[in-house]
Amino acid sequence: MKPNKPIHILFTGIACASFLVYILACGTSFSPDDSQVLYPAFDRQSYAVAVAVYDRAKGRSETIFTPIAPTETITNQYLLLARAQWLADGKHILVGHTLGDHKGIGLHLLPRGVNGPVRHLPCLEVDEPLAALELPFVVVGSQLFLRTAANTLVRLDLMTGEVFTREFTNDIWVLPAPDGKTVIGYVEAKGEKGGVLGAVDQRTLEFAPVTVLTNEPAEGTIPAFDPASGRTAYVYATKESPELRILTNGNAAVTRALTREEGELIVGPLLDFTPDGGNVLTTYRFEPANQTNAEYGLLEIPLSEQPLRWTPLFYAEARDDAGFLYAQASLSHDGTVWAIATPYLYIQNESLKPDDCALYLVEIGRAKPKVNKVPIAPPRHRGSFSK
Amino acid sequence: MIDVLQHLFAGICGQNPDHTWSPGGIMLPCCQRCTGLYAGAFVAALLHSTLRPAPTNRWLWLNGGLLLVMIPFGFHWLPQGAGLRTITGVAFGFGLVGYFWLPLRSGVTAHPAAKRAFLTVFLATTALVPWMAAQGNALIGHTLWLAAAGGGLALFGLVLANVVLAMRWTISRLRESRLQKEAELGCSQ
Repeated sequence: MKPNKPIHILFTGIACASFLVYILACGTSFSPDDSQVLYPAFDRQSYAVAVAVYDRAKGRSETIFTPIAPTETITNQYLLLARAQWLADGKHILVGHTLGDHKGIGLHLLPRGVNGPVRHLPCLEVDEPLAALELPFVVVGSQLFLRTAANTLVRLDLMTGEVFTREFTNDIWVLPAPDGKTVIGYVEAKGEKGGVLGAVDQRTLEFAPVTVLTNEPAEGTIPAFDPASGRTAYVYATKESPELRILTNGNAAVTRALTREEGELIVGPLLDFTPDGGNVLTTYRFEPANQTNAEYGLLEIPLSEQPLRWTPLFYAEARDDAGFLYAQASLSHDGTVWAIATPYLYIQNESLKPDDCALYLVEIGRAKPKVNKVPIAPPRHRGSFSK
Repeated sequence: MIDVLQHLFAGICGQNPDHTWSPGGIMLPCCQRCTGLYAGAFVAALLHSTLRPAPTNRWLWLNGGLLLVMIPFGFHWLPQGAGLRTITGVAFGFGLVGYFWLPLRSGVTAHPAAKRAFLTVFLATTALVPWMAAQGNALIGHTLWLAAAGGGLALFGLVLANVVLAMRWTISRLRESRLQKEAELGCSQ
């Protein structure tokens, strides 16, 4: 058959268009709801601790809140701890911070992009204010659920300020569920013998157990529970290396040893299921044998035979400090970006370089995750949090 | 080298690690579907350059069909696993090369029994690529990423060649049109 050029050109054009559509469909996408990231920072004028918002589309940051404590009660303003979190409506930001007297926390509800007042909520007396701000806020609708003492939960209405309190026999923690509509409770068994995960009734604060952990999670780690899928993830410390264990409806499903070359590996404290449920994300600190500097970063643990994925973020001396507990790691709703901020780590660990005081945005879901580092201007001096 | 490929493929592939083969622990530089596409394109380019199948109507429809197969699977309308992703990628790669090759084979005589050999190799490729990728052999891993690199180069080369041909064709048509107009003006004067 003699080639017919115009027709062949048409077919080539079809192939070009098909290929182009294929390539465009292959690329990563970002949800508009995840366009802004809240993170802890420092106020540039006073170097007091602050809350900032990073706009990923514009690549710009804006400081939106900074608590200033009376100087009679606090030596350095940056030694307060602040945590900020979006409400589900995407129009309000809840900010909590320790008070200068370290006896409670202050709470504020800030409007963002909408008209309305800034709500200064009742300060709550909290036994361990730092502990109260270590974990993400549990907010369902306009209700905040908070642990104010080892065995005490409080429900605070963010609109009216109404407070409801309940005490428990054992120590209890509250965690947000991935669906944002359930309050997860974790009751620790006495004598470090595991615990029970379940749901907390949002009206009565009554705890309904769902899954029993017969093994004690590794020290410094907190289990993750997804009520929708019935899956529980926790880190268990063995003699050789930590293990990630997944239970489905209380039954052992997956166990993965978390191993590196010779050295000490610590993972946690928080675990996040990715939205597709195929991976668990957590922070890690790896100290190679015979070295003083440790590697800090993000660990992606596939719940399959795929290899572990390590994304180092910075290097510093390993310390017996809270580590990543104050780094406020969070995962975007579409599961493509994981964020962590290191200002509190920087204050506590003098071996961190000023360049490492930053907001790290890690684009996961790629063979080689891409790391975007947004610098945070650090204070001139460092100190340590006092509980 | 594989790091360079990962960096290059990052621009055209989502590289979702959950949808990426890792034979023998070597994570391939592109996802399962793209692995099939580029490995398939590599094999298809070799076949077209050696067998030179004639572009009959049936042949054109067949390649078009291979492109259309991507629609329900690429947009996730149908459930699929790792193997099916790779197979649809291979089919798509063959279809792309089949169409991209059309302007380049002008005047070339087809090899006898080209079609039969072509179809046999196509079916073998759709079976072989996912099977190889599922093996835990590092040598196979290296073979596949080399094939993906070859396919990427082949597709890039084909696209470039078509662009050049299209530009030459456009320039020659514009020149012919201008000469014709000048001739008409000369006659009228």
